[in-house]
Amino acid sequence: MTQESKINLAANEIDQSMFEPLAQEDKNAEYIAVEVKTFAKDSWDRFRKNKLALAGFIFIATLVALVVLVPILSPYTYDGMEMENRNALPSLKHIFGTDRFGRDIFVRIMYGGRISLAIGFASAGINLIIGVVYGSIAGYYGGTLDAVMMRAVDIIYSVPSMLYVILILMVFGNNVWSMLLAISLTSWVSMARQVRAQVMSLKEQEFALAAMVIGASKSRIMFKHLVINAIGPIIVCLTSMVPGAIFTESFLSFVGIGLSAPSSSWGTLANETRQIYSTYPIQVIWPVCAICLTILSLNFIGDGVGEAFQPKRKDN
Amino acid sequence: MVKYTAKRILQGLFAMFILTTITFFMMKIIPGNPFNKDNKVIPAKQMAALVEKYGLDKTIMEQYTDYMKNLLKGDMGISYNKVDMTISSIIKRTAPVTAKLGMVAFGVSLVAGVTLGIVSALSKKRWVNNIITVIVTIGVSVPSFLIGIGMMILFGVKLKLFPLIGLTSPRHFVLPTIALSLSPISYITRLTRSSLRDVMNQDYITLARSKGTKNIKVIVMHGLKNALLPVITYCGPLISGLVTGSFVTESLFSIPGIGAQFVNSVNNRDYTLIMGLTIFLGLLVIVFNMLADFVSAAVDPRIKLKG
Repeated sequence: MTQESKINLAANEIDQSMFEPLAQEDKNAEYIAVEVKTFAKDSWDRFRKNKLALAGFIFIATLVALVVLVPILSPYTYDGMEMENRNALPSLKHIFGTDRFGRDIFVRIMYGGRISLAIGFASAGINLIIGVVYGSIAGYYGGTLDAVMMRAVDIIYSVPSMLYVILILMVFGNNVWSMLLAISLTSWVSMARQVRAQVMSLKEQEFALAAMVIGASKSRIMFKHLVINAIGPIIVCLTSMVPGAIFTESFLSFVGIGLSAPSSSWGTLANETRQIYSTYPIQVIWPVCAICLTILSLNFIGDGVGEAFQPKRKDN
Repeated sequence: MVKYTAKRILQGLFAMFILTTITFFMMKIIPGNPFNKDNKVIPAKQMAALVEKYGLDKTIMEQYTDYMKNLLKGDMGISYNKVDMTISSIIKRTAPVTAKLGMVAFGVSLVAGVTLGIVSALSKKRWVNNIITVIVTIGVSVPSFLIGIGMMILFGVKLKLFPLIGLTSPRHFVLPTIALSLSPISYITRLTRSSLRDVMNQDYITLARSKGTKNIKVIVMHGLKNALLPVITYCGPLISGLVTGSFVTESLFSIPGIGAQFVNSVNNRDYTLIMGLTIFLGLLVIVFNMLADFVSAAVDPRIKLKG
């Protein structure tokens, strides 16, 4: 084949259609990228992949719904007694059975859940506020202020927080509010440490400098720029606090130095069954299961949240 | 090392001072004093004598300086409820019981935790890891007191395998020890597993292997030696956890130790005893935290350079 015929052949293959503009949707055909997701969507997708975490989430969501709706759903009240029906085994009428006064155990567990869960979530919320403010101030200002603030944290940390909680309970009485106060005052230190570490490394980055250069105030830089960027570790720390608070409360109530009736949390309910564990072991099981399953679920959620918000974190 | 040690001791002393001060003033701001609760029983004259005996007629600051002075001498005063019993004598009676159980639980936690951690880090078999993960998850999530009561029902009441009350024979130790040490075991397993996995990927492990060192020697001498540092640091919090755990374990199993005594004193509102035991237990934990820090600083030179 001669040189000339080769050119002719090539010329024949080029026709007008090749010069038409591409359709709009084909323009990025070779552009390689994953679907653009928001931070929340991205984290949720990763969270969903962890089946245990998802199961824990469903359990807690169901529990919260039951606990909130129990007065509407159940015909029994929290303290309604059926004297002819005491220490009954689980049946269709009373799905968890009844206690020594003929009170429906399921309803009592649900009301106890109100207190236990409320203490867990509320104290985590208070911890979040104290810990974030304290940690970001220490981390941002640094120097002597940081040293003094962190020594204070070390001192609080070096004594078992249970001792402080018991002291605070003794001063303010055995009610839900002082329990909340006691747990909140003693367990924010890990959050403060976490936030401080994050803020210290973030404040060295360019965006913090840029914010400073355009004249943003210190509190704006701290909370709008630094703390927001540390949101992953903060949420991870937050999810680990809820089971911790529920544990502390139920521990103290179980020993008999926490909440006492009429505000019966799961710990109090478990404590009430201590005398009858050999005669009616089935009654011990309900509060115990409630506490265990809740803490287990919350821990699973914590693991899932950890993977979702800190994908780089090593699995241990 | 000297500078690090001095700094750490100073910090510990300061923590002790803060703890005693806070405890003292918290006890003093509790409304009312224990003798006017049912003072119909106590005649006015005797009441005055009691108030004087406990120094309640002095100002708070005087009481505070007196208490701190006596504390330095090791004198914590006398119990409100059991008159004529000094706090120190109560501690002397109950602490050894707790210490015995605590040391057993401490040893079991370390040995079992480290062993499980090694097995799970090195085992290539999936089912081994799965079993250990299940144990660890339960141990972390199920509070010790629930494990305690669960075992009481299962082994004590249903199977009648172990005695439930007291701490008189080795068989009595089994259930309380498990209740106390299951959650530390889980933490130590996690710690050992993750740090050993990290260490085994380091270059010096590959080097040791390539020199033909025996596998067991690589694991123990090169791997474990470096992987155990976080475990040593954890010993401080471990003691703290055992102290808190003793409150409930001893009450559950009726063990006459310091934890059960503390819970009783809170129930009886025996303020001087609460104060004494809080300070004693707090000091204990502070000292053990300090010791754990010293050991890890001695083992790992990097720590004292940082601190």
